[in-house]
Amino acid sequence: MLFNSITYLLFLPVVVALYWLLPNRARLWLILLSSLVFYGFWRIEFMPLILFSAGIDYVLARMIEASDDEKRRRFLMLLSIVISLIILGIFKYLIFFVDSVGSLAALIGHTPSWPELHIILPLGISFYIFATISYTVDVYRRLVPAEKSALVYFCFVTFFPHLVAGPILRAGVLIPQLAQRTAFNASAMAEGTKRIILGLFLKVVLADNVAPLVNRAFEAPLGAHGADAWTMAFLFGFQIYFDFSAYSHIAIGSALLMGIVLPENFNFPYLASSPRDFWKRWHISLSTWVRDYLYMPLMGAKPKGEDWEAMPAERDGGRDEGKRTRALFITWTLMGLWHGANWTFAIWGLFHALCIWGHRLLVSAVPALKRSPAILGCMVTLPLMMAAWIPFRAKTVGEAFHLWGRMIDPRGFFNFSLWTNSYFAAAVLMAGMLVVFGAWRLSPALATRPILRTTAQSVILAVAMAFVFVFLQVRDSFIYFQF
Amino acid sequence: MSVTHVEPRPHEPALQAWAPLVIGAVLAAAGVQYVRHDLLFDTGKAALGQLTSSLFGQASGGQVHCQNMRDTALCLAAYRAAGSPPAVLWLGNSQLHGVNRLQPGQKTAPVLVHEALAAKGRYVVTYSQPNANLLEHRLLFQQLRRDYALDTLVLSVCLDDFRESGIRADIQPPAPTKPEQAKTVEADFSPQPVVEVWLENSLSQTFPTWRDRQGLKGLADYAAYVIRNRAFGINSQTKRPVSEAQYYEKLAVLKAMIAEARAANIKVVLYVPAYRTDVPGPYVEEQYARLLGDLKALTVPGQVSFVDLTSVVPGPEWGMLKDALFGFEDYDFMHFTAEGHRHLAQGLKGAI
Repeated sequence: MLFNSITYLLFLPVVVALYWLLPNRARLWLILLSSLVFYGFWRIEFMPLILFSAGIDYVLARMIEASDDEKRRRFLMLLSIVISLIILGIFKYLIFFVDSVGSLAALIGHTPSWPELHIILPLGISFYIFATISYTVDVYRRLVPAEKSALVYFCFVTFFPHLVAGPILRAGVLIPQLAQRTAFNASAMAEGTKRIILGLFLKVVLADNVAPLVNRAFEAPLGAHGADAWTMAFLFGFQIYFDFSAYSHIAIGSALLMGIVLPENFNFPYLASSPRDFWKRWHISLSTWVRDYLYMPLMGAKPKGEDWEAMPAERDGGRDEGKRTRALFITWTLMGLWHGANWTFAIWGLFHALCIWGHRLLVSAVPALKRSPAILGCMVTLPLMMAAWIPFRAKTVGEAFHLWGRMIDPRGFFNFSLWTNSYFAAAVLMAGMLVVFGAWRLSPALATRPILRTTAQSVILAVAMAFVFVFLQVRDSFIYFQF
Repeated sequence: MSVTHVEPRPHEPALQAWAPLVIGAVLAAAGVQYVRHDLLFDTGKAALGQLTSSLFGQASGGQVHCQNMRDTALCLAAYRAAGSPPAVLWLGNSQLHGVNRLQPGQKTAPVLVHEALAAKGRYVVTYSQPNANLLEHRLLFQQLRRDYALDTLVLSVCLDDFRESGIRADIQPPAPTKPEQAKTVEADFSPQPVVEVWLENSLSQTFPTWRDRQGLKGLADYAAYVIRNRAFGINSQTKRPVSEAQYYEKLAVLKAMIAEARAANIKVVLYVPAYRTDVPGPYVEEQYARLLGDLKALTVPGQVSFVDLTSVVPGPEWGMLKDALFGFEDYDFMHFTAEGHRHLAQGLKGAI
């Protein structure tokens, strides 16, 4: 079921109303059944897959907890990870793998003939697989107890606000909130409602109206010159930010209506002062997941509770730095491929790794940069992060490199060939983002002036609600549904 | 910000939290109703402005001028009632149905040409849409060839419309309702689109405000368009170059249309629409001259002819564009009075 649909806007209040009327155990059944309905509205035949995947990890996690043998615990954890990755691999990467092998074979003159595969990517598979992997690993690390109640566990995996496109939740965040009876809180419901309105505005008013400009520009990317390539990057950067943050806002808001608090997933990422800072602000649940389950283990770091042991700077005669860099590049490449089964996504990940690595080298060579004003960092980081979106959106690796080349090619830089609205939209959105950030920074000053604050909020919500009412239609699904 | 645990959020008092939502909802509802009742207009006609009206005329008691496949049944009925004679199909843009300062009883060029040629046993039927591009013309031509016994195609080739590439849904015939479609949805196990359409239809039937959403959206898009133009100093005289890619794409479509017509023994009359020349206009002169040259080069004696109607409508007959929302005025380079239509008809009918 799509968040930006009339169906969801009727489904949600019914579920929320029932949630508060029912006793605790019945609430859990409501969450599970409504989540399955939510998921089944897309394709009912993939419901058994999510239940199977969740079921495997439920059983294995209990077996991990029941065992004191470290080797056996480790084996069970790895078994869980392998099964999850096999499921993900079959549905998401098999065609990509086969095509890549075929392309390589073609390079050496062979044309393998194997049957054409028709595999549909189950909605949200990347997200719920990551959630279940984190669960079994956290049980293995003894960060969370294995959930005894199958009902609570399945509710954790299938909880509909986050099911399809995150935030990727840790068991320690959601399971306790599901297991205990949450108290009704009227102001939490108000906040949840506001978050949903904000999310819908970002999606149906902003993202869905930028989308045609982006689609049109990327239909014929090879004709774009410098300024156009930068415009395309910025436009898509805004589109994906609005689209994805919208989903997170609606997810967080929907959960809040049931008194369940989900972690934030975005924090003004385009105002990051460095590439590393960007990843503390963009898709936070994914970047921290990758840090905790991929990057730190690759670095050989030892978990210490919920944190990690400090890495000695000069350990192993400096090979630590090499391990750190390798971990960075491997992690980001895999994170790129997580987004999509295409080499363009791997290149996107590598680009980010390069930026982070480059920043690391620069700061270590010129320590004074650490004290430079954040705005300078923003001015350098923003174009880099926007340029990174080129391979993410481009259809082929060749297109991506062509556009990147155009971005730094001064010849014909100001040959404009996009729709006029593209430049207008990019400029207005950039200005709008700065205005919104400024207003957000000033908003604490209104805390002591409730009438002014209420007036400002009322006007903003009125405009948002009016535009959402007018623009609401299922025109485009969310971009992150394809992951 | 942690993702491994979340702190309970401090909440403001319920009244303070809900007040902006309630007030905002009331303001939003009031605003939507105000716009609905006081500002809403048919944005499909916005391109014509307040001073120009649409007129799809009749002659000999039947419709001889239609828009597209949605209303083609009217023109077809009149054609069949006339005995389905060899027909002339005239395809163009809003210049053919837009009349500036329309007065009762006035006629458009398509009706005038129809009447003039009817006296000679020729049946002229016209289809026109705002900003119709050659892709749409070609699609329409392919479909209408099946309905009319065509011996001549009259085609307006408008440089400004070379920048358009979309194909409107109205160009396609309405899709028949197939029971297999529902079966396909069930086979895909995806109830979302079916439920969404049902909800949309139910809400539209029950709530007039919901039904008006499409119009309100069009109004919002139109307002953004006008504001954008004002902000960037764009007006009707601002030069609008056609990119090389767009130009050659449309030229290729035109050549394909001509080839299809010739293969079916249908004569082709190409013409450039009348263009206001008493004030500087949006065409890049070099591009326009190139278009004229390329169209002349397409002529084939006895089969494909070309008429340059650029200057056929004198200055005073041209209209002004008055924006329907804010009232801004601009020169209109496409639409003129009924007298201008008479000049257009006079200039074209000899070539058909």
